[in-house]
Amino acid sequence: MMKQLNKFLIITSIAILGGFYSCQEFETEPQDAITDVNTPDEVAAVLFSAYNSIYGMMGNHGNYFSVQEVSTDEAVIPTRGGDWGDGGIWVRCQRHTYTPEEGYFEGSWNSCYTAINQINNGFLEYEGNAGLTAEVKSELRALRALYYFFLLDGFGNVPIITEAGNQGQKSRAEVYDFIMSEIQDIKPNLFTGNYIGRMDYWTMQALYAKMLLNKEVYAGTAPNWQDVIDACDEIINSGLYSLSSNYQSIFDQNNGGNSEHIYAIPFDEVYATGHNLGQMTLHYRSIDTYGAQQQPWNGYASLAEFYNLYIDPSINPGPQGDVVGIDANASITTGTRDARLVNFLVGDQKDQAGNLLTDDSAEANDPNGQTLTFTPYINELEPGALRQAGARINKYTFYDGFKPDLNNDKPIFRYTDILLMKAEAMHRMNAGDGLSIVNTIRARAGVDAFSTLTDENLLQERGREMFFEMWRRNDLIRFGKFNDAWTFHDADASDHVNLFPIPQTIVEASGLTQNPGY
Amino acid sequence: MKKKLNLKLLFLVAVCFAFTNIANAQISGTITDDSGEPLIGATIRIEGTTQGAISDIDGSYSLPDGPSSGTITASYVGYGSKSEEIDGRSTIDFVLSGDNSILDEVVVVGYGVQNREEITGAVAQVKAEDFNQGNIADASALIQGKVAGVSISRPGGDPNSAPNIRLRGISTFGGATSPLILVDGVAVNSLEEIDPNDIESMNVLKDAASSAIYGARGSNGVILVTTKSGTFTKTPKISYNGQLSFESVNKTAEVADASRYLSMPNAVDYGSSVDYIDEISQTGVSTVQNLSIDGGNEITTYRISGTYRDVEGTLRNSGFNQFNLRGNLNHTAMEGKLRMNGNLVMARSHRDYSFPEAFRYAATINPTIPIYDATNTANAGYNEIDLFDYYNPVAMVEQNTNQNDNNNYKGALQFDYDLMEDLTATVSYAMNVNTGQNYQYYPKEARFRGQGRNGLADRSTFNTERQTVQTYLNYKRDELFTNVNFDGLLGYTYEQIDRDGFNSSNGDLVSNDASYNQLGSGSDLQAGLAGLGSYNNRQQLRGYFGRLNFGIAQYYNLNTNLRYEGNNAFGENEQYGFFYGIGGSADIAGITDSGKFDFLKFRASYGSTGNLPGGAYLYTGPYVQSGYYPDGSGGFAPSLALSRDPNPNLKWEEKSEFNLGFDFETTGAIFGGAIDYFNTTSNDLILFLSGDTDRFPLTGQGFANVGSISSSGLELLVNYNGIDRESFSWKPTLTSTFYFSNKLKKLDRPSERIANAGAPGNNSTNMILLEEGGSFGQIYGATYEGVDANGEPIFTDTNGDGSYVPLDDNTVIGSGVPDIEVGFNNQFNFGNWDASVFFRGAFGHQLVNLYRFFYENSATSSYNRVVTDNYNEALSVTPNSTISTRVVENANFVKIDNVVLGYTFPMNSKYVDGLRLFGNSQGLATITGYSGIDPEVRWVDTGSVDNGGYATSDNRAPGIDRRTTYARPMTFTFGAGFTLK
Repeated sequence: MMKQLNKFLIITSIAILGGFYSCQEFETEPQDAITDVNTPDEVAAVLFSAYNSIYGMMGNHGNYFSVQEVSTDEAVIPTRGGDWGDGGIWVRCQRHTYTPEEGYFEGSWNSCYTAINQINNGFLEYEGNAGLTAEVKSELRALRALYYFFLLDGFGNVPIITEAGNQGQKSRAEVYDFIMSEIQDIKPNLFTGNYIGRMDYWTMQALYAKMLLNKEVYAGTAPNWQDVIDACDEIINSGLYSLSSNYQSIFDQNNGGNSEHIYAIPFDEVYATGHNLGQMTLHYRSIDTYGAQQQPWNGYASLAEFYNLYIDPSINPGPQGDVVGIDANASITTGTRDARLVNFLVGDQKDQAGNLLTDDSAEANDPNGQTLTFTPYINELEPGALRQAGARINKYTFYDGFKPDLNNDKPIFRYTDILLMKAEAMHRMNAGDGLSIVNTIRARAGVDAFSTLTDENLLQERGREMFFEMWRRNDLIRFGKFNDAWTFHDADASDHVNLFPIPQTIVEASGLTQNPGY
Repeated sequence: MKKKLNLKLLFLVAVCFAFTNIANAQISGTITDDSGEPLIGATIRIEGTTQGAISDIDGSYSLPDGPSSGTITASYVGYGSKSEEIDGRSTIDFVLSGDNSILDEVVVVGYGVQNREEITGAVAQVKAEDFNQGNIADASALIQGKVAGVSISRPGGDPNSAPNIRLRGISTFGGATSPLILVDGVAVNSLEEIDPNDIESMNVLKDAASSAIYGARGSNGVILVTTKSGTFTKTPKISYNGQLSFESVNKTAEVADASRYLSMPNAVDYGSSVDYIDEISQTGVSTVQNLSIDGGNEITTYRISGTYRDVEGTLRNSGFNQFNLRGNLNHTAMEGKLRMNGNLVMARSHRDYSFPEAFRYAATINPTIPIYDATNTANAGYNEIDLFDYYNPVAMVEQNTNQNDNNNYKGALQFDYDLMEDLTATVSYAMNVNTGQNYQYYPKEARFRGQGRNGLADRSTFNTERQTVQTYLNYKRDELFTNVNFDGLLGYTYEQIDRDGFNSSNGDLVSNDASYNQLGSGSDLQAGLAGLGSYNNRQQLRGYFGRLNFGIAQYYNLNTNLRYEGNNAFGENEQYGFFYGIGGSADIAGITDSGKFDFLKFRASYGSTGNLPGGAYLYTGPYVQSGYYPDGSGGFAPSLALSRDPNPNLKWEEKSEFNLGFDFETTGAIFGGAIDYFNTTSNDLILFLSGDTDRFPLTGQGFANVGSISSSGLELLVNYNGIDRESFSWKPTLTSTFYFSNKLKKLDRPSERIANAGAPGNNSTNMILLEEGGSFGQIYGATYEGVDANGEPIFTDTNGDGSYVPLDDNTVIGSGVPDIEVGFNNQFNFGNWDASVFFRGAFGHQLVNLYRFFYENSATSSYNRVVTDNYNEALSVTPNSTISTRVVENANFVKIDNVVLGYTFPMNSKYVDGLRLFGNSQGLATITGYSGIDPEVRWVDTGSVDNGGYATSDNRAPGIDRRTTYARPMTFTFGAGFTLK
């Protein structure tokens, strides 16, 4: 009896255990994530996330924007004693000795292609979904074209990947043609009003004009200048955009929807974070100037040579006034009083109560001693740049209590640029034409009109006006000046540096051909 | 619901086994040791049957229904066993002799125990009497240095930091890198869950063949913790252990004092002279009280143990207290056929992490700055200077709060039932619930993390619920065939881990008064700057396992472990993995009968195990709300983004390992020990890659099987037992591990430089070179030659192109992985005194000394200067973010790690037994040329923690002495223990 009971128990227990285990199916989907995307709102939330890559690459230190700026004569990150050495990456950027292994190239590349792949995948995934209308699709193709433009301008010979698949690495001219054909194809379906922070007809029109203007660089063939003029005129004549009477208001924290913005990246301290120029450029102690939330890092500055473009009366004629000079002591000199000097912070720095700030750790050889004074003059690029050296970049005007992520939107295409592009095309067609347009812009800055327009003063005017808007490298290359020597940059031995190297990791992983010279 | 119902049924069935009836006794006797003392709880068994008994308090036993012929065997742990022919007798007495031979040692292995002679793999055992003593906060410290091949590293002395445990160096740098830890056969979250006072022994399964039975999580070895259980005594035994420890700072970063600082270039004098490290340090006073009661009768034993520990670190306001209550009940029924074991654990701890960063800022702050500045009301009267990465460390530890509360409840029930005379079925269920909360508060006046926040409160809760069901059949039969003993196991396990949590933070608070307790009182929520998050996931694991062990012709053993395991971390394509181990051994001493050895066993094994990172659903690419896209009219809408690309083909990491070993013991047990050679290859390492749009086009990131690494080494264990007299004995034990080589065979890219030095200014200054074909742990940088006339450093132009160029001229200049690790214990007994001296060392590894890199000869005068013996007056400035041999130092060391002197009072008290007093010192001396805080091996890079940020650690970058290293302490402990009877 006992034995039978035992056997019964064994068999029952094994059966029950088996039942217990088999009913424990593996769960395959996370409870705390969204795996089912269906409704038009959800689909839109997925599709439009492709906009988010641009915040980091155009706002945040160490990405596309940084290398566009620091490789030019308008911005530099000096190595300040122990600070900002960063393994030499910023010194190499300024000197054009960058290598395919620099992290900023990999970051830039991945930011672009992540967004491109998201867009392509969205087209495949949500084909036929009510959230993916023809208008939405055109807008996303426009956004994709913009990312390809960043790749074209930076890396040149890049793979073209669309929803139809990876078409392989293309020459820069082919990438140019691809973007142009995309623009032509989608323009009719784009929103023709002014879409804030989103791709609309006018963004693509501005991109179209920019492409035509740089055709020589991108495609190796001479631009048709009349086409550039026509493209710019379409925007000018739209009536949607106008010159802002106040230069600073184009860039301040409330600049959203400014009359000059054709397309601006809509940064926000809560929703669209990444624009952290305050942290990057201001001195540690500047926290007290603004009551900023976090302490800045004392990095980016402009070069004295560039700052001088604004105040040297021989370069920038205008009403004479007191300006902070370029000597090591940041002493007051008389120079041109250009309204656009608000682009910089120079001279003594004060706290919110108006007291002078001091940097107790200022180097013994700092001519200004411990009083915190930003000097346009930078004693050396590395390793011993003075802590206080360099005019600081105040283009996107800092405000009281600013947080590490700024509210200031960053224009990519703006009305004045279109005007200057038109003037440049006119000047190329017939030297000297376009002068009146340039003088309109100079008048807003409160400086005297030019009497003639030359390559040189046009490039300088673009520099003054478009400072730190990520176009300087593009301008220098188009004007043939990117390889010239400036303060911290010896003349390049070869112009291969006009294209960034394709990131080493990408070359290895995807088997791409590296750009020449690297 | 269905699950719960089934669980109940399962227990009903198991409990049903308990019904039984008992017959009358026919064989009885006593069991005593050599000296005639009764052995309580010895096991009696009629060979070839399931009949058996356990001796009682007088050493007596009685067996019902005993046969009139056959063999009866008595055995007792530590005393070997003895067999007698029954021959019709009804009274059979046994005298068992104590036996120290490792031959008879019972070793805990996966899902059971084996005799030492049956072991074919590399399995180490450390018993309670051999544990490290002193101020032990974590169970792993009990065996630090005691097991060859197991490296336990806890640089500095933060009582709240868990140590890094590495088995046989590096076998993976992808998935989990810590061993699987099981307490009484059940996987736990960490060793912190078990109180050191409750541990009977710790066993380590080192080779893949042995750990293969745990399959997918066995790659980093398996630590099997066996807890103490009740013993059969006449009256309950009450034991008390208590200790009092004093811990003080032994070594911190060496920085200049105020007068020396002022003599240096660019010094800024604020007029004071403060030893900031002293200001934030304390002598940590810690107490541990443990009270246990155990006892029982022939069929039921129990043990209840409670421990309260109150531990203070050397950093002010740091430490923890913990109360741990453990109850254990063993019961046998049905004439010993059914054995039941249940245990319950309740533990509650409260931790004050304080801010270990304070050690860094105490080292780097200008020593002439006064601590207080009454006029600075914005910072509550503390002196704060607005410089980058600069905090008043006294304010940091006094103003801010960083705490944790943790509750752990565990219960386990196990039934073993002898189905047939050789066949035992085991069923067990264990539940482990861990709930915790973290709290942080940075008041309005705090600069550290609170700057610009006007008060910042942070709270998070987390909950981990782990359930384990195990069932297996064990068939064990001597002479299954002629000359073949068999031991086989077949089983099934299911484990489910549910994790959920919630976190929130808010700033801009109305008042400091409510600290982190009124999160709603902050306005950051309205400003969009508050934080909120939650998670919930379930990990499931199902395993089928088996073991076949053949003992052949007395001297040979053949052992096979098998496991087929599935885990929902992986998709259907690769959900299951098969893991196996096979091993054989031959007792050469027995075969050759040379007489020189009691024991000389040759072992060889080969096996494969798996590994995977923590976390559930690794193969999926779920959408999460991430960021906001512009809505076109100046506003924003939330966007959904993949958190990573899915990878349906993600599969187990797989390690295969070949192990060759000898166990030996010379005649008379004078010398004993083991030697093991291992050779390991791990493939398909799982790495989380980011910035890789080639593999992961949608997000650039995801999990991939990309790495491969191989390593080999030798482990040595030697005991000497030659001086063993009543008046004096000396028993030295040497353990050492030789790391022969390791090779990175495959990576996600041909080479990569990782591990940046951090702020200020070196966020892109990488220190570690990973390259396919290279070694793991390569420190990369320039070769420093000296100083030129201008005070500038000279670096070697290695490629001979005329000048030193960063990157181009950098080479491998060090290794973070040691060549040799050694533990050397000396146990002395003389009369009533006992003493032990334990040395521990590691050799052949280098460390990047980041304190020196940043602050020795620093050009930035705001920071104090590091002034080690390496300080060179001639070098004027920081050598421009170049990691060089100047700051990469040899970190060979020998520590007098643990010294104990104890005295046991000879007592003849009616009530008190075994009163022992002891004194102990930990960290008494360190012999090293390394100039940093602690030369311990850094297996893991903790990452840089700058300017109030949080670190991310990286398994791929050993060899970096970050500025996070806590002060190295020295501890003196006084303790007492006795038993009441």
